Formats: sequence, structure tokens, C-alpha cells
Amino acid sequence: MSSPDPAAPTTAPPTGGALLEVAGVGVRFGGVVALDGLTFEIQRGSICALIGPNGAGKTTLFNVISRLYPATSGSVTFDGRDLLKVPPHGIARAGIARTFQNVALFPGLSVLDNVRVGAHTEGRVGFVRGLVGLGWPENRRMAAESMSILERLDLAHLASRPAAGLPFGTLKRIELARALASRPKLLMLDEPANGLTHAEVDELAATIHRLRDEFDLTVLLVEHHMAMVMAISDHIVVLDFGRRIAEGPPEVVRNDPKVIEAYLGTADDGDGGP
Amino acid sequence: MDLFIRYILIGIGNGAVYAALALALVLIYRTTGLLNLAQGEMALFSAYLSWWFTTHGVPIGLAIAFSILLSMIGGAVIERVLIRPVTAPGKSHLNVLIVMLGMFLAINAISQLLFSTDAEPMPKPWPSVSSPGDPVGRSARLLDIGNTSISWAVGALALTLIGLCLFLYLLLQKTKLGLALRAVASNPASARMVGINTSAMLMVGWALAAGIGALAGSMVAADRGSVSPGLMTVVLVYAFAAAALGGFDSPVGAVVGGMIVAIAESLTIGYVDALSTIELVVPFALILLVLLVRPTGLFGRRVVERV
Amino acid sequence: MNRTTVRVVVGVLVAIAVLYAPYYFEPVWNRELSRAAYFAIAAMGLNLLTGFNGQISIGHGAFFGVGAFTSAILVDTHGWSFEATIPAAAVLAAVVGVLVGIPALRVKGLHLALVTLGLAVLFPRVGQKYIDGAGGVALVRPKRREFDSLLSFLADDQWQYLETVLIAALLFLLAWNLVRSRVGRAMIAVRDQEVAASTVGINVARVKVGTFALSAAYAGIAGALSVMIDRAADATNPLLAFRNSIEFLVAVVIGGTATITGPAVGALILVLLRRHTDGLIEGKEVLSPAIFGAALITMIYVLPEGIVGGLGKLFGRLFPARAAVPATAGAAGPDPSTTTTTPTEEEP
Repeated sequence: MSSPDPAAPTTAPPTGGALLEVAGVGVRFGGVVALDGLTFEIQRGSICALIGPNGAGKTTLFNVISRLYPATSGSVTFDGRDLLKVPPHGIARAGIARTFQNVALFPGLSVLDNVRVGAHTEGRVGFVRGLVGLGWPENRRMAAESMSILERLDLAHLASRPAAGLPFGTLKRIELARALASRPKLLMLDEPANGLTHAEVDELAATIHRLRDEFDLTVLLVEHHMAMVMAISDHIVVLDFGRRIAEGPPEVVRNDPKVIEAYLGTADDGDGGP
Repeated sequence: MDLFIRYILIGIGNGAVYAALALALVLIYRTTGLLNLAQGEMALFSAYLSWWFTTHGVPIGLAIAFSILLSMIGGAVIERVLIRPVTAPGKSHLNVLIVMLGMFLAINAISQLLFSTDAEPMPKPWPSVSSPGDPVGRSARLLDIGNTSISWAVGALALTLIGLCLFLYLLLQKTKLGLALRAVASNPASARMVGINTSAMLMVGWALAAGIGALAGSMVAADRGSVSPGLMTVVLVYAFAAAALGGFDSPVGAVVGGMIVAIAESLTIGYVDALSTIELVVPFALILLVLLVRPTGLFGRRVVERV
Repeated sequence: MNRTTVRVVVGVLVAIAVLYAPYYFEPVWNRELSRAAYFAIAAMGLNLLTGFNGQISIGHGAFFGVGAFTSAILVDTHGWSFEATIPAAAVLAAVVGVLVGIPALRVKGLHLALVTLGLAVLFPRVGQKYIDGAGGVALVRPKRREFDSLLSFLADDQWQYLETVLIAALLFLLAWNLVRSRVGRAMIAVRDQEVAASTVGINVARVKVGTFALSAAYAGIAGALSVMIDRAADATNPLLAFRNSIEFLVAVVIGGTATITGPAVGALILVLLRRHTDGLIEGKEVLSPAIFGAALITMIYVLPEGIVGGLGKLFGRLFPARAAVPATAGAAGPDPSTTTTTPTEEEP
């Protein structure tokens, strides 16, 4: 497996303290414990990866942070505020944007409109103003801003096409554009390399780096593509059975015996990992 | 007390019918995820069909059996030709809804065109007592309780329901076909992958529902003594209320719901004068209440969508 | 001959035809066309809710009834001038819309359809209780002269037609504005992917209830206008609310869900169909619902996106666009074959 070799990161390891603090977060679904006392931090400006075998709780944590699942215990602090008090539609305004594992674009809208919707929190026109036609100036402004994002992701030529029936990799880039439209502080990517070709993964790694620098982002990703994770992450958190079993920079995590065991099992195990 | 028992008995009789039709609704909901608005009119057609056989000399029991058979074929055809083209997982239910509305109107009208626009007398498949001027007759007495009696109608309807439940239980839980049906109902994509002919199973689901509807419709007509164009419209609403109350995906719920709705209706009409003139308020209000307060009904299961 | 030119030409021709119609037709036809116009308003309202926002309602006949009854009572009993009752009808209907929209948040799809159907059926009964309690009359028939033409060169029926059509045109314009705006995109987003919509910051509950209220207001205005055209408002006929609800929905689907012109086309067809299939064949009155039902089913197969949706695709092939078609079709869900694009105006 060749390691992607993106342009060397232009910024030094991040400073500025923790943007996201997860403290003792637990999630139960009936009798199933999906997350158990999970604690870790993400530093501003860093790229943090969440890895672990299937069912480890990575997507659950994602959904807790994006407020789609309630946490049964613990706390999540984002940019100094208690995130668990924020309703699901409040995370965008708080500065969090995310993509979805199976690409949740709006097929009834064009590519441009998908991105414009991403900037929903940047607008103000509601029902009344929309009806009487006061929304047009805002529309134009948002269109211009969205187009510039599309250009940066090499998608401008698709602006007026419906956001459906396009190659999977393209759809993922569109979803990325939509996430960027809300000018987030934290960008959460749910398995971004899933379904991409080798070349596309390399491109993705470079893109994530570039976007982190250009948009001044902090990135949290859930990912299975180990090579990419190892190559671009500043910090890795490893989950298994809902708990954190290891944490640290790639070199440390890669050699941690607990991590290896979680994925591959011990020498005595008859069955292998994922 | 006798009055109370009488109301309960009436409730049981009606409940059996509502429960049967509700079972048909639940079957279709489980296999295709649809609420079949045209179920009542399909049952009406079947009831008329049973009647038609009797006008050609076929004894009522056999007539109902033939009707059930033909209705099953009809149900399968309807699924394949009318419903399948407009349903797809993830697609909005709007087009299916319009098709079902079209079916509702068309099937009712076709019934009238093919059979009769009038109320036609329907013989009873259970003992009855006729009198001059009443050729079809009233149901005979089956059993006496105190000062009232259980009529054959109630007994027959209840027995039919029990038989139906038994049949469905055995079919769904104890046969390969039933297993395949349940698999398709639970996860069509996976079912297809293990080699189950999903297309055929959908048709089987609708066929079964149509057959059950035929039975229910014929029994209603037999109980009332006649088949008429408006026979099933009201019954359908009650069946929906029963299915909603029980949970649209629960056969047990359909039966329990049917009984509750019917007995509640019977007691309400019997004891509360003010409500006796308001038709359909009870079932519709019940539907609203259930769907808004506890959408899964008494026995339904919550479905959680994966993000 | 590019898209925009074709659009403008067609638009102008249609406008001329619509404005000339009252001079050309007999009063009886003007009445039918007026009916089609207020029907179109109700259908447009429903289209906003069901087509653009994905909430199926078979209960809009109830909102229509609220508007009709409000207007009739205000004119007949309280002496309001008719035009003033229109906003009142809209507001009242919108309030009821909110009352329905909030509990409706809990149900989706066909379940929601069932709930709204229940409301459409129950509403007249509730209305009856209220009216009986207030000692009022269920069937209100305001007098003719309440709706007389205010312009000397227009006959009553022509005046009423123009008033209805102009109001319809205005409401359609407003709807078009809305759909192209930020809220319009939010409505569609909620329809397509509710979870992702909340993630980008859309307050899903507010959008859904707001759309419900707005669509109810449209139906209420249509109801008010119907009082002028039909000169009657019947609050207690359950069959009426039921039939209207179904017909509005049919008009939306046949015209083309999630399009702007669809509801108008669907309404016109429905009103004409109603007129023509009633008593179509002597002695076989029951044939007309059969034909109607069969016609519905056929239409859905031939044109699953409705007339405007289907024509839109044809149009797209005859006049391929570099820029776009301002019709956001696709209420049928994730279907890549539908043309969904942004309007030309916004592209830099």
C-alpha cells in the first residue's frame, strides 16, 4: 500500500488550545453501550483522525458531536461552549460542518444550490422577505460566494446540474463544498476516502491539507484508509468497543500493541480483525 | 347487564370484520410499506363477486371460496401492474397515493358496472331464519347467555377471524413461503441477495391481502344481508383505525385494535346518545390520536433510520 | 431561438389569452375559468407543502373551507366588503395551518396523509358544533350585489374573473420568489434529506410548520375567492372538504409537483375534467368516476412528473440550456433523471 505523499504541511503543529473537548461521553441504546467514558481533545488547526474497527463507535461519536444522537453521559465543549445544549440545527451556527458516509446531498437542488444551502446560516431571508421578493440580492451574493467555493474544488462547471447522477467521488467533493459554505471552524468528514480510487485518495489528502490551510479549519475525520490517516493526521484517536484505547501522533499509534491487537487480534486468536 | 353483553357481542362481531380487513392492511404494509387506500373497494368487488356466484346457483360457502381465489389472483396482478411501476424505495409516496385513489374510484365504479348499482341480497354461510318478506333472513341463535343470545353471525365471524389468524400464523411462521415473505418485508435488498424472488413475494403479499379482504367483504355482506356500493367505505375507515391503534406493522395489533375499536364504537353508540349521529368521528379521531401521540400504536415497532 | 426567448413569448401569449378571455367567453365559461383560477391558488399552496416541502396533505379542503366560511360570514353577517375578507381568510387559515403543522411534525409520508385526511373529515363536524353553538347557519349564501363589478365597463362575471385571475397571478409570483430564495432552498432540502438539512443549520420544525401555515393561507384565500364565484360557503358538508382535498392533490400531481406552473395547469385540467365527465354517458353515471380513476392512473404512468414536469424535460431536449430551467422538479425523490437547475439570474 503506497503512502500518499501530499505537499508537506505548511503550518507548524497547531497552537491555540483545544477547539473540541470530549469528556467522559457515554451513549447507550437500550442495552447496547456504543460509547463508554470517551475523553479526548482536538487542538485548533489540527487534523485529527478517529480510527478503530467496525462498530467501535466512531460514527456514534460523530453523531453525538453533530447532535443527531443524545449523549447519555459526559460533556462536549466546543469553542468554549457546552455543545450538548445546542439543538441539531444549531451546530452550523456554532461553527461545525460535517459530511456523511453515504453522501447526503439534496438531489432536488442543483450543485450550486446545494452549496448555497450549506451557507444557510449566513443568510437572513425568511418566509416573508422571500415571498415579497426581497431575497434576490442575498441570492446573488450567496451565489457568488458559493461559486468561488466550487471553483476552489474544481466543480464550477457542474454548478447548474442537479446534484445527482454524478460520479461518487464528485458527489463527495460537492458535499465537501457544501460543508465549507458555512465557514466552519471544525470540519467533520465521515469516511471521506470511502469508495475513492487510489488517485482520488491522494488528491483527497492534498485537498484536506490545502483546505485546512486556506480556510483556517480544524479537521476531524473518521477513516479506515490507514495510509491516508497516517499521512495527513496530526493526531489520532483509536476507539474499540466505545472506548479510547490509544491516542497520539501517527508514529506512536501505528506501533501501539493495543491498536494492532484491536485490528488484527492477538497471535492466539483464531479469527482476524476486520 | 344484558344490554352490556349485547353491545359487547355486537362489538365482537364487527371487530372480527374490522380486524380481518386490518390484517389485510397490515400485510400490505409489512410487505411493501404502503397503506392501501383501495383495500375496502377491492373487498367490495370481491363481495359482489361472491354474490354473483350465488346468483348462478353456487352455494354461498363455495361462492366465497371462489371469490377468495379469484381475488388473490387479482391482488397479485394489481401489485405487478398498477403498484410496482410507481413504487421504489426512497421515492415519495405521492404517485402511489394518486394511483390508489384512482383505484379506489375505478374499482368501485367497475364493481357497479359489472355487477350491480343496487343493494343485492347476500345469503349467509351460517344458519339463518328466514321469514316472508325477508328471504335472506336473520342469523339464527347460537347460544344463550342470560337473557340475551349469541347469534350465529357473531359466532361465525369470530370463528372466521380465529381461523384466519391461525392460517396466517402457520403460513408466516411455519412455512418457507412465510419465511420468504417476512424476509422481503424486513429487508428486500438482502432478501434478493439470498435468492428470494422479491418480485414474486410482493405479489404474494398483495394476493394474500386481497384474499383476506375478499373474506372480510363477503362476511360483512353476509352479516348485513346485502352487498351495496357503499358497503366497505365505512368499514375501511374502521379498519384503518384498528391498524393504526395496533401498529401498522403488527398483525396481533390489528386483531386487538379491531376488537377495541369495534367494542368502543358499540358501547359509545349504545350509551352516549349525542355521539350516535356522528358517523366516523370515533375512528378518525382515534386515528388522529394514535398517529400523533404514539405513531407506533400499541404493538408496532419503532423504526430508527440510520444516518 | 434560445430558452429565454421561448419562455417570454409563451408567457406573453398566455397572458394575452388570459386577459382577453372574459370578453370572448360567455359568463358560464368565465365562471368555470374563475373556478380554475381559485383552484390553482389552492393547488399552488398544496404544492408548496407537498411538492417543495415533501409533506403529503389530503386535508387542504379543510383550510379551503375555513377561508370560504370566514369570508362568507364576514360579508354576510358583518357587512365587510368582500376584498377585505381575503386577508382575514388567509390569516385564519394560516392559524389553523400552524395548529395542524405542529402535530404533523411527528408523522411522515402516508401516515401524514392519513392524519390530514382525518382532519379534512373531522373539520366539518367540528365546524358544525361551533356553528350550532353560536346559533349560526351552516350554509351561508351572501347576496349577489356584494360582488358587483366596480368598473363600469366590466360585467359582474368578467370583473370577478379578472379579480380572481389577478390575485392568482400575484400569489404565483410570490410563490416563485419564495422558492428561489433561501427559505425555498431550505424547504426543498428538508424534503430531500431532513437530517442533512438540520446539519447545515436549517431549523426543520420551523420550516415545516411555516410551510404548512403558508400553504394553508393559500388554500384559505382560494376558499374566500370561491365565495365570490360560487356565492356559497358550506361549512358542514364533509363530502365537500374531502372531495376538494383529493382534487387539490390530484391537480398538483397531474400538473407537476414542485413546479411553479404545474398547479395552474393541473387546476385547469381538473375543472375541465369535472365538467366533462359528469354525466358523460347517459344512464351510466357511475362511469364517470371510473373514467376519472382510470385517467388518473394512466396519467401517472405516462407522465410521472406531471404535465409541466414532463414538458420541462421535452423542453430541455429541444432547447438545451447552457444556463438553466427555473423549475425544481423532483418531489418524487432522488431521481437523477429529472431536470433540476438554478435560474439564470443568479449565475455570475
